Amino acid sequence: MKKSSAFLSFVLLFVFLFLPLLPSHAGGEPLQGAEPLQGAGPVFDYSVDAQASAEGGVKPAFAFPSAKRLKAGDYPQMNGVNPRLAVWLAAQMHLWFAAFVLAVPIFVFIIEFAGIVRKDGRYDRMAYEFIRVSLTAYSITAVTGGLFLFSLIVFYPGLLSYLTAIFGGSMLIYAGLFLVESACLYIYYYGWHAMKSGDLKLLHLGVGLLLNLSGTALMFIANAWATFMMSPSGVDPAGVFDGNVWHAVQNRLWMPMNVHRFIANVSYGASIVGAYAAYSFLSARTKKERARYDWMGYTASFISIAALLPLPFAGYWLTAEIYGYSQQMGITLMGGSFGWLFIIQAVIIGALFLSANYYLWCGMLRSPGGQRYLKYVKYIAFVLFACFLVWFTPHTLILRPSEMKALGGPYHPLLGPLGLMPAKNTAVNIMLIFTYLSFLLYRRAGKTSVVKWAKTGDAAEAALFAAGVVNIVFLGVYYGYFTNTVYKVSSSAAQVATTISVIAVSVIIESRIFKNSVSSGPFEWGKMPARSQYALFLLAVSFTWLMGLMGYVRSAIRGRWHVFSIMKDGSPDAFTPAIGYAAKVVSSGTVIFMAVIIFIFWLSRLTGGKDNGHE
Amino acid sequence: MELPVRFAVSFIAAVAVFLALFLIMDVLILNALGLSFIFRG
Repeated sequence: MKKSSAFLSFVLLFVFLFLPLLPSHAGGEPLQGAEPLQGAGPVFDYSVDAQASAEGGVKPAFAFPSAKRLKAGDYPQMNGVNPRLAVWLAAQMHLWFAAFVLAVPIFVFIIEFAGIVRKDGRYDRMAYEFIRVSLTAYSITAVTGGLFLFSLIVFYPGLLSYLTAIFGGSMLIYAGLFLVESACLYIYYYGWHAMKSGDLKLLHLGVGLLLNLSGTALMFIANAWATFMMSPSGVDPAGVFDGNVWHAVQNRLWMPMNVHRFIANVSYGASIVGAYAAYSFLSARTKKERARYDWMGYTASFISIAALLPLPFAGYWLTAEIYGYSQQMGITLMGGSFGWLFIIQAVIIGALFLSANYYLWCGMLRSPGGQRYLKYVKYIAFVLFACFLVWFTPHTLILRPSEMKALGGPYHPLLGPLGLMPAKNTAVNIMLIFTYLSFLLYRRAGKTSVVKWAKTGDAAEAALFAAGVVNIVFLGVYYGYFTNTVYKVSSSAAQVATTISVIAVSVIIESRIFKNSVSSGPFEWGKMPARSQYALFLLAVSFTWLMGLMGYVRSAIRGRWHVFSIMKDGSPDAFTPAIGYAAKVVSSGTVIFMAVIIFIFWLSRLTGGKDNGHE
Repeated sequence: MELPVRFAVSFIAAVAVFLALFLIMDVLILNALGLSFIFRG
């Protein structure tokens, strides 16, 4: 009876929550009685519309304005406040927190599900602790979101008014979804212990699913606004909206951005809770507590790295679409003034890979069996460093005439070719394979195979890695340097397929070799040197910094446009700042964000002791 | 001595097999993208 009434209340709650979302008329279509524009399809046909208007044909009931030509006077100024800086920092803060609070429920849901399937309460306790950290960050996300919105209202009213005319409907849906997400999050968190068994546990999992669906939908809507500013669609060259919001949402960069942000958020969110686990590990007073946070840190870093592996491919797709939409934006992105930020990006990504591998190598010490594999670490480290060096070798150097003369030209004769994309693609694929190898050795540390053909299996697996690397290098060198651009781009698909194949086949061979394996000694969670935890901190800081820098580049390649090719930025700040200035702004933002995050960790630990009573 | 020899033989044989499979995969992917395996200018 109690369960049925709880279920009924739950259903009723969601019916009410979704009521505002029911369309009173077809969402996104022209208002009351208006016919769709003649000739308006997925791509707006301007000539037909112009003709129809001129001949007194079908007109929309509501005439959408063209994009206003903004002048300096249209941007309110406030003494002591730089509008661009204020909006930049507010948007960046909101994005960092939003990425974190959207991602954590995704893997909390998966961990909770794994706990139910494996019937292991430890998963449930860990999932609960993860969601507790994100709950504290949730309110700060809302605060920074408000700050961002108010900064736009105050400093960029012209742009906001134009975007609202197009996306007003979706903004209301966004607000509704935010309500749904908040309700789900609070039920999910506060109902954790009340709904811990039987059907109620499944219901709890259902709330978690709804929480993730609403959160992801929120991100997709916000992405539509951001990508519309880069690759506008559903508007004519003057910026006049065709009346169908779906045309504006479905712009060219929308889906690549959705996929890229979704994967990146999971990786990022996991790195932040990994830092929380490291913080708790370092401040733990008992062995039991250290063991618990060690396991938590391991799980978080595993999720973070697992999501990091496909991220370069999603980024590659997004970049290819940017090039596809506008070569000008594409060239500005990687070949122009922002090219050097990609070198910084390469250094930070290299730091991510190295810290993740270092953490795994330290993790081998948890089991006495790990000693067997420590001898391979130096070779893996050598390959990773070599690839890291290739990965951040610049192509075009900023040189004085005397330096250019000494070099014999603008490019270094030996290192110059390493600055090109085929070398970078080759390096990153090998780095991915060797990071997986570190993980494989880490997994092997606690086990000893009992199958007779284990040595042959090892030989086959070593051969798989060797053949994979040979194929990746062949694809990179032959098609990258001895063919044309079409081949260069296409061969990268084969490189990715090789990396995925190596990992997939290796997983199968490993599962056969270690079937019914025996333990190679007592596995001790918590038996980790303190320095390994700093690798987790480095992971979180690197991710935060990377997101800030690359987010800036993505947004700044629009140049002097608010909405690319449609609405010009007429403010006094309509210029691209120097890379050094941008790096300082993003770095300051990173410091502020990390300071707030450490405050959140401290708050979560304050309530932690009380909540642990349930465990 | 027997084991390292067996390991080496298995390793070389497996490298040949996997490399052949990877090359077939390269051909298929490039063909699917409308390109031939050997670049003809």
